Amino acid sequence: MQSRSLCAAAVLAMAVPAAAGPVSGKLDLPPGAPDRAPVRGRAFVDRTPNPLAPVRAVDPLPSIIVALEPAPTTQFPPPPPAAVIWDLLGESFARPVLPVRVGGEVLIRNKGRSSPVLVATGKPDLLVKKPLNPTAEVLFIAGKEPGAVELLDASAPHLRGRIVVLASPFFAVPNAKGEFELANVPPGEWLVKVWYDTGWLDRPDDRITVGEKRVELNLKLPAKWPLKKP
Amino acid sequence: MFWSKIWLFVIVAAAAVAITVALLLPRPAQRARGDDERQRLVVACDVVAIQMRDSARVQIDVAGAFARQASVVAALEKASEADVLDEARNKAVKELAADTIAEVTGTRPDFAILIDRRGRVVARAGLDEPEYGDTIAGRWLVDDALSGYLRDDLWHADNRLWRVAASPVIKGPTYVGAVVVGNAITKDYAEGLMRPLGAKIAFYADGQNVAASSTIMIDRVTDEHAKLAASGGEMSNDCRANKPFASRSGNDEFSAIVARLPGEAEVQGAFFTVFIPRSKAQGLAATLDAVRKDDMSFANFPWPLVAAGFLAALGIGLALMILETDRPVRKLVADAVQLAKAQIERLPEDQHRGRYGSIARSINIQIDKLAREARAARRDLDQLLGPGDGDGGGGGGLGTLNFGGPPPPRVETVRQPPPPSEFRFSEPLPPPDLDLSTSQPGRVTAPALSSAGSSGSIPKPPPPRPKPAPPPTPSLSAQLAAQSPPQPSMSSPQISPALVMAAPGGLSGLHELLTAEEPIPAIDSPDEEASFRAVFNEFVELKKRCGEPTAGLTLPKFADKLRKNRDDLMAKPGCIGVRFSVYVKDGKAALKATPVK
Repeated sequence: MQSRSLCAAAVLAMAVPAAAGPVSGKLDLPPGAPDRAPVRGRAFVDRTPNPLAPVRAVDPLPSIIVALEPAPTTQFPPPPPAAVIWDLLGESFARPVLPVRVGGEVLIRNKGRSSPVLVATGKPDLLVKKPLNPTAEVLFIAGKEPGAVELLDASAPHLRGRIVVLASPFFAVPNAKGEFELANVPPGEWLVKVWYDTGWLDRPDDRITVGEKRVELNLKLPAKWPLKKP
Repeated sequence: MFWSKIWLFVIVAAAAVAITVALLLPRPAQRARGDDERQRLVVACDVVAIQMRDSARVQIDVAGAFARQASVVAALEKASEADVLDEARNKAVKELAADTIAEVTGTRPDFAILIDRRGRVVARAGLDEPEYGDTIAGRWLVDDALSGYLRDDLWHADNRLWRVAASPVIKGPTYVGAVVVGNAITKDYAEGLMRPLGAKIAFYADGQNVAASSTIMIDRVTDEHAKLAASGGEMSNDCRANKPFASRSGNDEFSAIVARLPGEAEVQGAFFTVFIPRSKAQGLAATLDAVRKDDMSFANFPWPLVAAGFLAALGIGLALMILETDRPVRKLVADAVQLAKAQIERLPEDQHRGRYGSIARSINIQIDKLAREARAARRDLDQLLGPGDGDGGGGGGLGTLNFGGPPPPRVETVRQPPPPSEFRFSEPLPPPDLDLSTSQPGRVTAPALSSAGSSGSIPKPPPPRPKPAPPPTPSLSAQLAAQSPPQPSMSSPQISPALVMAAPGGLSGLHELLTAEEPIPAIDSPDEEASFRAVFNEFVELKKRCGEPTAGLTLPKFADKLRKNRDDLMAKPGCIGVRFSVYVKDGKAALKATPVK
């Protein structure tokens, strides 16, 4: 929750035109959770569902990003990119997927007990290859072009996080209820896109017109969570 | 000899086969031992996996029982609702976890971690107990447990491998947390795995040995693991699909096999190796060293068969030697002795086979050759002196010189060729005898005439010995008396081929022996005149003894005749002198001229 608040604060801190209006909404999740990933790190015995309660479904919300992209007719002065904080809580990041604007800085704070050596897949120069000790921080620019960057620790295969570098400065992550809000969106026409885990969801993009009044959205997500091909 | 050679070949071939078999036999045994080693290793490797799987099941059961503790459920439910985990809560839950561990019967977990539903560590017991509040959600094991699964995993932390298991903590339909229990892989655990197998095991992670059943550190392990990891094969087949490899630890050799360890630790290069001492290569010598006394007993080894085979081979070999070598040689030797004794004239070629027959034929050929040479020499002398009287004249005897009396009527006789191996120097000649000093009792030898000194090309004769006095007449008379009447054998003397063979230098050597009684005097020298006179005296004496007239027989005429015959004979190539002798032939005195070559 703390990280989500920080992200929201970062989004709200962006400079917006005077006539900007808020955009909020809720994700309408499809019936049926995303498929659970195959068992990772199977050891000697297959994992067994407990006999007392049904297995919890996969929660997709931590891996979802709602982003607004301006229509070609929409003109606005781009705000400067802001730093985003990403907490490493121990054996995992606070969020598995972190949105960040192109050119925006990412500050990773290690709040765990271990000292991972984080590396970016495909971008060996993104991070200095050295242990990130407990309570230590590392600040870096995730990317100058839109795309996804995966961070991992070679010695801890379970420790993975994905940074999604977005061209638009207007994006939000949903809370546990699937609700989201983007403040101070410049007026004009915008396309609403949804990122899930490793890519954009393959769904009809919602076209909205932002004015001074709040825009309420109800984003219906497709079943089986299909992703657009890159 | 043919069958002896065949038998020798068979024996040598059998020996070669036996040696080959002896050298080859240890190899299948060595291969069998290698297969046994591999089987032992595979079994040990499989058993390790089985035992670790069983251990994992036990751990899961322990984690499930742990998670079902009501006190644990209640503690985690409350912790999950708290935004901040304080020390008091940590202490309480830690004690609860420690108590729960203590209640476990059987293999107790080394540690337990109690996690709230957010993935935060509420308390640790048995390991890193002061630490709490950190999030270990994200580990696959913990995520699955918080999602409602029971499972196990293998972690690598603090340079140790940990066998861990987790269970969700559930209150009603709600998940309130998870429990993780774990045991380190230690030396005791490794020894327990290998105790029934008689092998050794070592666990590795991230290139480091983290636990082992012994202090032996073998080489090549990490390299073999790297190959295995790069092969991309199914991990569950590691034990059976991989070939054992030779490894060393100091001077000791081992056979080892590696297998990857599953779970999260696999990504960190966790594996184990099972190894056993490598059996030494069993060559022929080592195999013989390994033979025990019991192996050589009659019950376990076919000594009678070996002995029978040996005796049979030996008997066949000896029989072939006797049949093909000893007997033919003995027969040839016997025939040769008979030949030497003049009991046979030629070797019986047809009775000797093979190379012995060739030897006999070669000897016979030489005998024939000598006979031909003898006949040629006799014909030459006959041409010089004229054919001899009586039988000898037509029978190939050397010519005789008649002085005084009318020549005997020539009797034309059918010349019978002698046997191929017959050899006669002259006719008559003394009976054959190897002892030359006594073999010619009826023969009186005069010093031979020689051209030595008149021709530079002729080797100079040896210096004359002190000239012996002319043989006294009584001596000759005594000899003639002893010979009268002449012995039939003396009238047709023969020199046996054995004599020729016994003489050094063969025929020419024998000739030299026969003519080496007196040095040959130089031509026209006083010695020669003396020699002629001696021959003349002997001849006259012999004629008188034979009752022949000696009227008209004078020394000048006699000497002229000798000189003429000498010159004729010496005109022949190779004749260096002529030796004259007198003898009795058919009751008459005769003179014989013998060319000296």
